[in-house]
Amino acid sequence: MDIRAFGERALLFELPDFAGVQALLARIHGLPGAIDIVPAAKTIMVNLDTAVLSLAGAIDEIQARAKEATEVTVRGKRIEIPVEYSGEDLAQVAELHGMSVSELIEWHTSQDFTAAFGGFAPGFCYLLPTEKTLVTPRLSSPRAKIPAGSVGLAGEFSGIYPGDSPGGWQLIGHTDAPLWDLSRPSPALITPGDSVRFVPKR
Amino acid sequence: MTTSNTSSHSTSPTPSLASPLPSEISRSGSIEILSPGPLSLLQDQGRLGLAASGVTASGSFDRLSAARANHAVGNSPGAGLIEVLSGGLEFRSQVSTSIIVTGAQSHITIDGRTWSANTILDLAPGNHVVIEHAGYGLRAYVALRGGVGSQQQVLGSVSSDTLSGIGPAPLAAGQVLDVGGFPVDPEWWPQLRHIPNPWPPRSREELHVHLGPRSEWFRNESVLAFLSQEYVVTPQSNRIGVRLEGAQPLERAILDELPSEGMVRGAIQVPPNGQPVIFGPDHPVTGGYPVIATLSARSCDRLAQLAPGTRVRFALARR
Repeated sequence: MDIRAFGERALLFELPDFAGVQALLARIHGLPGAIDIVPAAKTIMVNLDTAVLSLAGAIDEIQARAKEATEVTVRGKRIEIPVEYSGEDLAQVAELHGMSVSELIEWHTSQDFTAAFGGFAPGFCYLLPTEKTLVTPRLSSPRAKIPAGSVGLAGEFSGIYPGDSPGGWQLIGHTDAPLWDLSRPSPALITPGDSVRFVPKR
Repeated sequence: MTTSNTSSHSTSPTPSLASPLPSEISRSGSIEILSPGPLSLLQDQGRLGLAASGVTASGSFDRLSAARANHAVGNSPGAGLIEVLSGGLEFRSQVSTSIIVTGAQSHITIDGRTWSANTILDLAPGNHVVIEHAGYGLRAYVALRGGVGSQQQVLGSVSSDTLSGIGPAPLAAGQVLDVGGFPVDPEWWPQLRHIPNPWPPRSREELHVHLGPRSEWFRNESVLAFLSQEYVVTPQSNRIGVRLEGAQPLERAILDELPSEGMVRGAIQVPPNGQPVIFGPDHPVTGGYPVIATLSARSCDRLAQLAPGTRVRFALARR
């Protein structure tokens, strides 16, 4: 893995793929002195409290942990998300993949998705299919406004917009599940590590 | 006034640097906002540790001045205070407390009498207070002894995140803002009423950077240009990011699309137009443009004071 300094108080770790990110994430989870551990598709950014752990100390500690042979897994909770499959792009995405609409819905609802990482907005997680991947291109012209609760696809990921937002994801459905709610003790419904199952609404 | 007896305080046989100073929770009162000026926000040290949930840390833009302000009035470092953009904040006190303005050098007028910034002043119920427009600097920090906004914490912080909207709304005319509720140092008798100016005027503005993490995504000539040319702070700047403009746009050596990755305050992203954007406290948690360099912690604070039109250069920080 590649290690880069990110200013005076953070490090950026580069991994070959998301499986590498997951493996390292499991090993550095809860690292004392780390304020934030932000995973992404191929990187982990670690923001440090340098009064507790210096950049050099963090590099040493994380390199040591990365070598651990023990298979550490951090598992989150399992969540079902009810979806009304009536998104604006549903038909065109199905056609793009050479499927009927019902086959696309079947693909989306018959496997679990892992919440890989977040970051784009509070409560948003990039969701990766656990069994069969489809790669869906983003819209060439992003929408100025995507309503909260929209369920979409972009690249290999699926995602749910927690709030109104511009975006280029292709929309296949909508959910009323509250992705972000500050009145909850844990405001984000889905956090990295969770398993998501989409359920079609009748 | 309590007199604390140090021998009765500590539970360990010898006092250590790690043991906290005695503190008390301050009594409460309020101030009534008459005018917020262009923008006045509640801030503190931010909400840390939530980046993986997409919540950015936020917090005071000029952390140095905010810390000096809180310390000057005997507040705990985490006390809420007010970040005033440019000036124009006006309020009526309904509490007896102490107040200081620091950061931008804004005068403070209390019941018609004007004082300079960096002065610890007494505030009484009924006082009419105006934070004047700064002669120097962009963001003033107003600390009241006891702190402000303790009733308005969201996810453990009073910081107003202007990107996501998490936290209290900007201050508004007619609003009654709670004062007190944060711990204060009870043994606080300021003999000196003036604190040093955190930002003495400079003839040249320089921001110190560490190259990376993606400096190799840029052509060598562009990295050199980045470190030598003059930049101007554009009006398209705020707590989310400060946009600069330089004569020579920065060109990429690697033209691939960068998958989004975690970002920090002070990261200097370069979008396709080749003009740098420096991330402020309300920055998005992840970003997809390569970061050519990252500001030192102190330069992140200095950035808060650079008004549009300011000319600035980047220089390598000494490690």
